[in-house]
Amino acid sequence: MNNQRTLLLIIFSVTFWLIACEKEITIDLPDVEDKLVVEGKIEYDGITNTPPIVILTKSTGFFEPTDLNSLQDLFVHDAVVTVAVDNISHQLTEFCLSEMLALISSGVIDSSLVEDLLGATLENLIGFEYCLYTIIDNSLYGQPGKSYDLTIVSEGKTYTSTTSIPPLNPLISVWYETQKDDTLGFAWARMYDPPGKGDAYRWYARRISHNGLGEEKDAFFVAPFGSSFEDKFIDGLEFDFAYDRGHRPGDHDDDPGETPHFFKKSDTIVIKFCTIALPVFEFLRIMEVEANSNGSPFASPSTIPTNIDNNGLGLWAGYGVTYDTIFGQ
Amino acid sequence: MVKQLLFLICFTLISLASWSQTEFVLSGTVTNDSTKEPIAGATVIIKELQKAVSTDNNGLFNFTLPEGNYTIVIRHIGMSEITKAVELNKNVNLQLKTNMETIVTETVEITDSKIDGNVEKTDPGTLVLTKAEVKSIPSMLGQTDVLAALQLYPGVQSAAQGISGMYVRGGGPDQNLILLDGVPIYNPAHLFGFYSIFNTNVVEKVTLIKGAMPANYGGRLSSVMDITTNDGNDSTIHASGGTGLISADLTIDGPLFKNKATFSISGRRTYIDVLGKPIIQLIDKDKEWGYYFQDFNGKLVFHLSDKDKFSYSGYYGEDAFKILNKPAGFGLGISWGNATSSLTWQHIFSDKLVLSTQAYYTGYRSKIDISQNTYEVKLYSGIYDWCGKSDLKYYPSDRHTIKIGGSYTYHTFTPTNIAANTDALTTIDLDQRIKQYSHDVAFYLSEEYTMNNRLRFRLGLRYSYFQHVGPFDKYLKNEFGIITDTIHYERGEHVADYNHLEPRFSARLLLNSSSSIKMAYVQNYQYIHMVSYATVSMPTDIWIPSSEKVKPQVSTQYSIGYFKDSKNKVYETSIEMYYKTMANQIEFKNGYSPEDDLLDNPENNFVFGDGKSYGIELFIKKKTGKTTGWIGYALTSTSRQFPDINSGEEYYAKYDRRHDLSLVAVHKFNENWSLSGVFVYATGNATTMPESRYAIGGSIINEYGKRNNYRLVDYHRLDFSVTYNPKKNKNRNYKTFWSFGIYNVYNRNNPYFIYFDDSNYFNEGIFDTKAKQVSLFPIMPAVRWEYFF
Repeated sequence: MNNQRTLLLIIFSVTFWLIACEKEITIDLPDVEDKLVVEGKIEYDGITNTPPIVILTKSTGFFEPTDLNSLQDLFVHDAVVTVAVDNISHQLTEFCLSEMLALISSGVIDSSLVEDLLGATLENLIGFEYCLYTIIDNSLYGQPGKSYDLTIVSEGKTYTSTTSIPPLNPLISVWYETQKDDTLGFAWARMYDPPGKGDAYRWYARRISHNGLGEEKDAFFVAPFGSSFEDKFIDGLEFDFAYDRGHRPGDHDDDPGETPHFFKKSDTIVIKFCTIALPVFEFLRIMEVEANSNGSPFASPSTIPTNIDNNGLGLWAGYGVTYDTIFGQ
Repeated sequence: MVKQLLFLICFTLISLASWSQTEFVLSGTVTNDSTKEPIAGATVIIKELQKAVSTDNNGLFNFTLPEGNYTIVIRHIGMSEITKAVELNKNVNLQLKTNMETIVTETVEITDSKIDGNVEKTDPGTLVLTKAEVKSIPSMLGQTDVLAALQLYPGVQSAAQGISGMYVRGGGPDQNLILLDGVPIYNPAHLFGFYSIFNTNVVEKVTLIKGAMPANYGGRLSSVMDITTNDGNDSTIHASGGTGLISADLTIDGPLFKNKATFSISGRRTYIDVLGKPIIQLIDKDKEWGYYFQDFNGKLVFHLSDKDKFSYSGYYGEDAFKILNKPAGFGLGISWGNATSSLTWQHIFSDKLVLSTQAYYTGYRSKIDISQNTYEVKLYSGIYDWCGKSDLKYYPSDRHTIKIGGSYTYHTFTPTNIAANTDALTTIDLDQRIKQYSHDVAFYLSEEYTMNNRLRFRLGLRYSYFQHVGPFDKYLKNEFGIITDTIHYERGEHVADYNHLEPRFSARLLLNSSSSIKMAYVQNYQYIHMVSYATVSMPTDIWIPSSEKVKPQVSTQYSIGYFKDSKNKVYETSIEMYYKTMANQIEFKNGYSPEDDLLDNPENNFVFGDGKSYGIELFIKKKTGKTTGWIGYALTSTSRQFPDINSGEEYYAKYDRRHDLSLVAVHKFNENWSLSGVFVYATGNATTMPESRYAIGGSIINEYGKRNNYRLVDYHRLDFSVTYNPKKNKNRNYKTFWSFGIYNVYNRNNPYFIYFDDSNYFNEGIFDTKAKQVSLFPIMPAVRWEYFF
């Protein structure tokens, strides 16, 4: 359903491909003030104590490059970042990439958490000055049912936000089901949504089976299109659902022998199923709608509903995480 | 508002009391001698008194004059002028017959029924087009179109290149009351809006009222487009048809019972799918692609007596589009269409009293079907009306025309409905049809009063009542948007209602025989609303009723104009100014997707605001001579202000257009050949552009600036067409007609929309964004061949 705008665009593209033409144009956009962009998460998975991670960047002009090289110049350093829970405030410390790698190797933080946030593998990031804010003394970690207040003081401005980690809701079962050509299929799951509307969820999957180079097929968890959903239609129901494989934003090539959208029957897949708060769902949903419209005349531009105040952008999100594994056959 | 009603009643009574002098009634009917059809909109002039009236839809006219000798002149587009001397010493009723000067398919002079009406008629902002005029204008792919022709007049705009959605004086496309033989049409678009559903060959006359909407029309804010179709020839059976680059059509009409009943049937279909299928199969046999539209018009007219006319009119049209990619398991089907059916009875009680009663059904539905392997989603939407209405016209004297009437409509709405099926999702049943129902009632009283030779008024008052009734489930939400409760209303149970008085006023002050000043004030309420998901008219648009949350739209328009004929009425000119405010306008909320309507009331996904439009319209027309044509120019500004959009700040509407210029010229070389050309220029559409961006989770997110903060480049285009109208071969019982044209002569790449092409390979450090402008319709040929039996 979220693909509707894209489909309408397809219709027009097909209908008028014979007579339509396109050309590159120059658009003179006004200079706008950079805004603080917050990308922060705090998780609870019932297994490990996971500290909050916050990445601070700035927005940039529309036609300015936002590749990895350019992005490192957008990181905001020397901000005072605190997270308060149960009326106790904890200050986060800024770590840049070399220090991060040390933290990961010492097991203080999980590499996939960092890669999820940065949107790139750490391997690809080596040589870049990427930084994040976290806490490593185990004094603060995610717990379900608790509310976390984020405060950022940067360049004389103060930004605040609040999120919570909803109670966990483990999937009842997960399995692979062939959809095409006997070997290609989707990951399926059965879940139960407790009565009472207002619950929301997010689905990630990661193939840990190896490719031809002996590496895990996915370096981190991938959220497919439409990965988040609320319980408006499923409140109080037990039901089956499925997701295709999806791809990371920015990934355009699969490993040789892979088919876009499909898992292979032989894949071992780890499912990361998260409970999220409704504002987090709204952010993720509209972000996908917007990413999909991209100037299409068949849609209206959407403003992403940030939960960061004081004219900030981005998201401070709590996740209640459970893991399941589908073993390859 | 009560004061306004009392004023109207008092005014009517006082003015009625002033006809006490000794006078006789001069009335009559104007008919086409060859088809026996009454001629509506013909101008009837009393030469000695310089008085003029127009014939009504039954061809009737009526004067009350002092005893004397008079010369009556009858004029109408493409019709031989009639002059008749009358000695009026008793009541006189005339049966006036005339012949058409040209058959409709010939190249005609650009004239319209504003002959003498430009200065004389009461209402500013009214246009009348005939089939001949529509056909004389160059068209895209040889498919002449009523809406495309109307868009060449000032104050009437298209949504985008080639789009037939109509925006009148800053109003949205749902704010136009589009009537086909008196029956509303809810989506006049074929081919995603590139053509209208109106087959030019069946159109008799098009009246567009963009300013002073008389009280007998209502329910929309911006305009009335009233299209009447041919009754059918009363003498002999005729057939006519044509073939263009994308479609063919055929019309047959004639007597059913000699002098008692006529029929007219017409059909039209595209053959893009038929021609394209083998090509697509040749390219890839696993893929299917198809599109067609078709429509049918039918009309039966029974003249039961000299005083009774009974008619049936029907329309059915549909568009269907499909894509099937078998290897990918992907399918997409979109279909939409309108259907109407109406019965009309007209009874002439006397020369002074005519009753018209109509019952009709009209429906519009759309369906989108998307399938991917075993997963299938369907979206349905539509609106269906049953209506009865009655209008009484009373001509107590030539100074007065009184109209009184009422209507009742039962609306059934099916806003976005979604059905989803998959082999596994057996526990979720989304296959449902949520409907909404409403009663729509209106009464009106209208009086046109000629005070003296210079001053004429039209006063009108319309009372409208709208009731949203059950069955209906109202979903109540808390501050977090979570549905906390549902209120169920039983069938017929009252949910919400509204009633309003809508005053209408227009006046004409004749300065001299060739110039006048007109002014108008109108207030309109609109109880049903189309909410558009896209920036262009699409099958995804939904119609919804006013409800507890959705208040009726209301507009107030003031307009004033100066009208002048010159060079013995060879030229007519006008300059009009208007100011219009619109309240309770509707948009979808930020981030809306159609699935948000599932298990929810659509109105929970709307935001509401106000609109404003003002402008000046210039019009110069050369009506006679070898070269005819017009220049239309509008300088306008249209804005919207919504508390929940653009941080509450006022912004330009997407159809705001600062400059809008149309030049139309037709040159007739001789009886066989003519050349016509159209040039249009318009300020680029307002659109919203991203101003900055940021990265989050590996995705690049656009941050938009102010709503509609950017203008697409200006639009301009030149079209030509040559028509060849050979003399009829006496050995043949048919006649042919050719039209050759070039659309977009200098191949202007006019913008349709802009998108951003991201080469976004984030992990590899590659990121490049280019703005791309998509244009439709480069230089294109147009050919059309027509035949007549």
